[in-house]
Amino acid sequence: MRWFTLCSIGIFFILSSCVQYPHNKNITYEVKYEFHFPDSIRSLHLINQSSEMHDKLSWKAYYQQLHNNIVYEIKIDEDGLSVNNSNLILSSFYFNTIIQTADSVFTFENGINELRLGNDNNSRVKSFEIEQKYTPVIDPFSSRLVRSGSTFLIGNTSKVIDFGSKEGRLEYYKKIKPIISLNITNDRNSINELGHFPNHYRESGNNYIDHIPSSCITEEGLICLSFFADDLLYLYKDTSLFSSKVVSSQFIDKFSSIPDEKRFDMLFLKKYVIEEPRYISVKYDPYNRLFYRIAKHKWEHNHKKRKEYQFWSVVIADSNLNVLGETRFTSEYDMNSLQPTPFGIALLRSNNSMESNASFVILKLIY
Amino acid sequence: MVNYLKALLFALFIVSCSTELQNHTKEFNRYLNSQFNTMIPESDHIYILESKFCCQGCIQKVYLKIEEEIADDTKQLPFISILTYDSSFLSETLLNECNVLFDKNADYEYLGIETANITIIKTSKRKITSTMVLSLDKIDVVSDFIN
Repeated sequence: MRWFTLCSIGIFFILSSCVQYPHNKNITYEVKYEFHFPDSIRSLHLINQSSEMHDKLSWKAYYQQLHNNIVYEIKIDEDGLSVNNSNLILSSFYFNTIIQTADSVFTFENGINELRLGNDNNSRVKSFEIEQKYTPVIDPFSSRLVRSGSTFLIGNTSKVIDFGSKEGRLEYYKKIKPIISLNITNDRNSINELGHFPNHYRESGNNYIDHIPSSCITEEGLICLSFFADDLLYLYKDTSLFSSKVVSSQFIDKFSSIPDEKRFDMLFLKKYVIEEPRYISVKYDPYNRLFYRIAKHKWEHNHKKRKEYQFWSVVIADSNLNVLGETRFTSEYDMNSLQPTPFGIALLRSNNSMESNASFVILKLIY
Repeated sequence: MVNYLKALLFALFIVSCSTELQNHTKEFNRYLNSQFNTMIPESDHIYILESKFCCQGCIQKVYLKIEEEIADDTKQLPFISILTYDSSFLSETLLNECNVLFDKNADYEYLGIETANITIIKTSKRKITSTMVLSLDKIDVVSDFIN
C-alpha cells in the first residue's frame, strides 16, 4: 500500500513537471530611431494604415491627439524622421478611421451601415453601403477598422441576442460570425461574414468581454483573427478556416471570465480589465511576413498610487503561424501603438498626459 | 456568548468603516488643498468624480439627471463640485451651476477611494460621510443619492 502511494506521488510529480507553459525564444531589440516630442504632443492614438507593403525606403503614419483633434503625420524617408501637423480634420476617431492619403479618408460609424470616404475637409466623397442584415460595429476596446487594398474588415455583432446572459452568449458564440469583410473593388461592394468563436467560448458560454476579435490581412488576402482569451490564432481564406495554431505568450497561463452577477459592477469590471491578462491585438508585418500578437500580462491594480511600469509582450510568428519568439516590454511603451514599418516596429513611449517626455521610437528586433 | 460575539463583530465593522472614512477625508482634503487650494466645506456638499474607466453614456445620463435636479426649484440640493479630467461632457448649465475642478491627470483616482465610472462623495461638516460608485444598472439612483 505504502509502495503504491509513493509511486502515485512520484508519477504525479513527473506529470506536473511535464505540464508547462511555452518557453518562447527571447527576442531582444535595439532602438533604431527615437524622436522626442515637444511637451504639447502626447496622448497620441495610432490611426490604422492599410496593411499592404509600402515603399521600403519611406514610411508614414498618422496619429490623432484626441483632446484637440489634431492629426500628426510621422514620416521617415531618406531625409530622416519628421513630425508635422497634417491639418487633417477628422469627423471621427482613430479606431474607426483609415487615412489613405491626406484627402482620402475612410470612416466607419457604429449604427450607420456604410463605409464613408471623405476628403481632407471632412466632406463626403462617396459611401459604400453595408446591407441592413448585418450589424457592423467597431468596438474601441477590442477592434479597429482594418484595411488591405480594397478589403476592409469590420466587426459584426447582433442586435437581438443578449450577450449579458450565459444562455445568450452560448447562442451568440454559436450563431455570430464576428467579422465582416467588405470589398469595394470597381465601386461594387461585396460582403462576407467570417470567423468562429473559439471552442472553449462556445462550450462554456463564458464572458471575457470579447465579442469582436482583433484582425489583420496578409498580402495573400488571408485574414487572421485573434481573441482576447484564446491561445490560438486563426487564418481564414475567404470565409473558410485555412489553418489555426497556438501562438501563445509564455507570460499568460490562464484566463478568468466575468461572473454574470458582476456584469454591471463597474468597480469589479475596472479591476478585471486592468488586472486580467489577454491578447490585445494581432498585426501583420508585410515587410518581414510576420504576425505580431500583442499580449497584455497580468497587471496589479492599486487605487492608492499610480501603478509602476507593468509588462506586455509581442509574440512573433511566421506566415505559417509558427512561433519564432517573444519580446517583452514595460508599459512605458504604449502597446496600442505598435505598427510595423520597413525599418522595424514603431512604438510610442511615455505616451500619456502625465509625462512630459513622450517619444516615437523605431525598434529593430534581433533574432 | 454568541450574541456577545455578534455585537463585537458589529462594533468592529462600524469602527473599521469609520476609520476608512476618516482616512478618505484626510487624503481627499490633502488632494483638494494641493491641487485646488481648497478643502471640504462645513456645509453639506457633493463631489462627483469622473473616472477614466467609465461608460460615456452613463456619464451623459448622470449629468442630465443632475441638470434636471438643479432645474427643479422645489428641491434644495447641496452644492455640487464635479472633478473631471475631460470637461467635454459638461453642459453650460453644469459649468455655471456647479464648481468644476479640472484635473487632466485624474489624480483623484489614486487617493485610496475606490473609483469607477461615476463616483459620488457626500460630505458634511468637513468630513466625508459616504461614497458610492454608480454601477451600470444603478445610474437612475443618482437623483435619490444627491438629494
